[in-house]
Amino acid sequence: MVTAGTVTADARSPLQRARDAAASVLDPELPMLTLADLGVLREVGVDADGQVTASLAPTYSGCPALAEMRADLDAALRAAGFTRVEIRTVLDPPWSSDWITPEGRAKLAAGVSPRPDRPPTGRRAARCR
Amino acid sequence: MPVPESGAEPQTAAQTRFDHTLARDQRIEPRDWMPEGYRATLVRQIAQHAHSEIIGMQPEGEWITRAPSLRRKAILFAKVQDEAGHGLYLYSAAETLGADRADLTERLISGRQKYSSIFNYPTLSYADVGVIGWFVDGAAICNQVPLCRSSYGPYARAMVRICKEESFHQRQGYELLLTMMRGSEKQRAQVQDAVDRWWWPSLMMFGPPDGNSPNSERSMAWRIKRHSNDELRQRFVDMTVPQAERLGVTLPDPELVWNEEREVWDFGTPDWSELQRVISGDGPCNQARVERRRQAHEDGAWVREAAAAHAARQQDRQAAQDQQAAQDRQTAQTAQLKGVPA
Amino acid sequence: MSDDHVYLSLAEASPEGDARWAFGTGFEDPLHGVDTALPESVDPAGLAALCLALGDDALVSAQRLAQWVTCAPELEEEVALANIGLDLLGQARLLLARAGQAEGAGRGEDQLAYFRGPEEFRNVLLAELPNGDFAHCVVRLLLFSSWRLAAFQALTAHPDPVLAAVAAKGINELAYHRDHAAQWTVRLGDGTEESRRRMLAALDELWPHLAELLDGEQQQVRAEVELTLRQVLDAAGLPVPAVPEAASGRGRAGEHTRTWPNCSPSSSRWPGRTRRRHGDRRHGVRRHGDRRHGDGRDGDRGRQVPAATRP
Repeated sequence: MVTAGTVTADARSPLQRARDAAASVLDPELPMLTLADLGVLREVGVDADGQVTASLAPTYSGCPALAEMRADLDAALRAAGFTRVEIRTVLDPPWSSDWITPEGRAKLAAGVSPRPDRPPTGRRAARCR
Repeated sequence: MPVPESGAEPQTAAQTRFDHTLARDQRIEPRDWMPEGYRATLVRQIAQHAHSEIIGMQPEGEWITRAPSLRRKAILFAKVQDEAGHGLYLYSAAETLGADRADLTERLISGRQKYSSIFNYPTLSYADVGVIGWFVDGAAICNQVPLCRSSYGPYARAMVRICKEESFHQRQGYELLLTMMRGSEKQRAQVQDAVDRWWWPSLMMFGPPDGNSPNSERSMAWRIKRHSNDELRQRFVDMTVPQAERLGVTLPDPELVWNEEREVWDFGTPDWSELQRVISGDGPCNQARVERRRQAHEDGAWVREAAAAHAARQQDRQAAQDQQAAQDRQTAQTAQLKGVPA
Repeated sequence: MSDDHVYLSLAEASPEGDARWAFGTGFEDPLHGVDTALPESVDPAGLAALCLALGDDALVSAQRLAQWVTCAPELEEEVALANIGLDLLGQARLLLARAGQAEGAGRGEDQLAYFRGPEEFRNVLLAELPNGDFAHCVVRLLLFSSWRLAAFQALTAHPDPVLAAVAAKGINELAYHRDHAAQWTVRLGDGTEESRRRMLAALDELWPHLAELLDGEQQQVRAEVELTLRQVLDAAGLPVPAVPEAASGRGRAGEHTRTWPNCSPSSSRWPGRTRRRHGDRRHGVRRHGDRRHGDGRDGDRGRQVPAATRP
């Protein structure tokens, strides 16, 4: 499926296209990280009928950005040309900061605090140690 | 362009390096030499910014227990927590310039240092929470984005980080208002009422008009500040008017009109006497805000003392342990040399 | 990095933008997108009661923690307490949503949070006591999180997969809460004369409420809690009170104190939202809009209705 307005042919498989689109979505709260960096994007699949299903693991129980993450992910997949999109939330296994990728950690570490001797000051930074 | 200190001495090598760094639009870092005026101006600006984050927690924080849904409660709780984090971050940046956090807190409580005038207004309904997100975070972002290129490294980096988090807050605030505007008549009226009360104070967040802003010129020369008050105010208006139209609210300015030639929105003149009054302590909530901060600080004294006492005791214990361990090693070595069991 | 993109994206009036606003699209249900089928082996009423109790504990605790905002002894503690409150609020949302599903009467998290009277709330009294000084905060958190952590560890084996998952998710958070409280217990117990005095007073007042938490718990949970508390208090140089035999509080039965912290805002709760149809509404005269009639610019500027109203 091709979005109206796409001129060049996309040599990627639908699955790859879906994965690339999903992985590039930025975290609404820490937009220097993608959902992939944060380790919250659990799975992306495309079935035989072209429906995309993507699974997200919420970071912590009170995360106020889950709704936005789901909406952004949905929008990104639709922009990539998929008309049937399902976003699942997966509570189990629970997300842990171990799931943050090395790239994600590097991005978080940049500008974490002006005082290296003090612990990180932000909510997300504290969680993502 | 180098800004000479008053009573200037001949140009030193360090001053030259400083000037060249600024001229090349590069960063001054904590280890670099800097003129005392530069350092003092930065400390004041960063401290005021930090104080604003902390005081800003009050008008919004009081609505957490009374949010109209659990999701809104979570969003607001997270936002206020972010603000505390921003304050901490900025105090840390001020500390890299030799400031002491306890001293800065004293200055805030005694009124010697200020915070953004906007937080001296009361939040009267939950719509205010949304409007604060939309206007106040919006204005803060307009102010802060250029500061991401401020000459002082730690401050610029703090601005990058804070801007990103605040753009999320602004989005959340706007979304709340969109929801309310699609709700009942009462909800829409609440939003419009909040807009009417917060619009002009938000414009005042950018400070007095350029002609009346004595510190601005030096700050601009030092590239601490990158745009003038009026320039930023205009940006904010241009950004916000289309958003207001999408929302379906009226901004309370009969002189707001599109200027075809300059491609900006012309707007009316804020009541500068109001800004003056609020800055000098005569706003609706000044006393309450500072008093709350003072109370928390004083009530917390015994806690901080206990933490310090405990830490000191831990250090002593550790030192004693280390000393004992060293003695034990010495005893063992001596015994070994003599071929005697320790 | 282009900083301007942050700024520009705020100014954009993109139509798709609205699709990402999470109202009216079911994104607000915290269990949306989770597989929520109830297994045959699970008794729905029992599950609902359990989730409600655990959810109420968390919700009421979060209300009290929210009252510490701008009152904490130092900024780092503002961040920490808000962190803890937000975690508990998140757990409450998931648990209340699950309770509503198990109950099967169409009540969601907000119906349960805002439309039950105190006699229907199932939180323990410890959660609802008014805030005292910071020692009170620390002791309350120590007792509550030690117990909740042990209880959640046991719940990861619950036959309801959603409750088990919520418990598994909550464990890391609760471990942080308990450790945070434990560190403060030690600092304050082993700090100054004054801090020790205040800790003793807080233990005196709050320890009796432990019985209600442990009431009906498996031996394994009780043992775990008692061990944790003993270790922490020993490290703090504080005496370990005897665990009271019987619970004096009856929060689980809906008997609450006069100061029980209601969620509701003082003004009325939001009435049910009505959907606006495109073109349905006028919103009064917009002076800035009026001025631009006939200026030949983008016709959309004259419209009363936002460009991207979604049903």
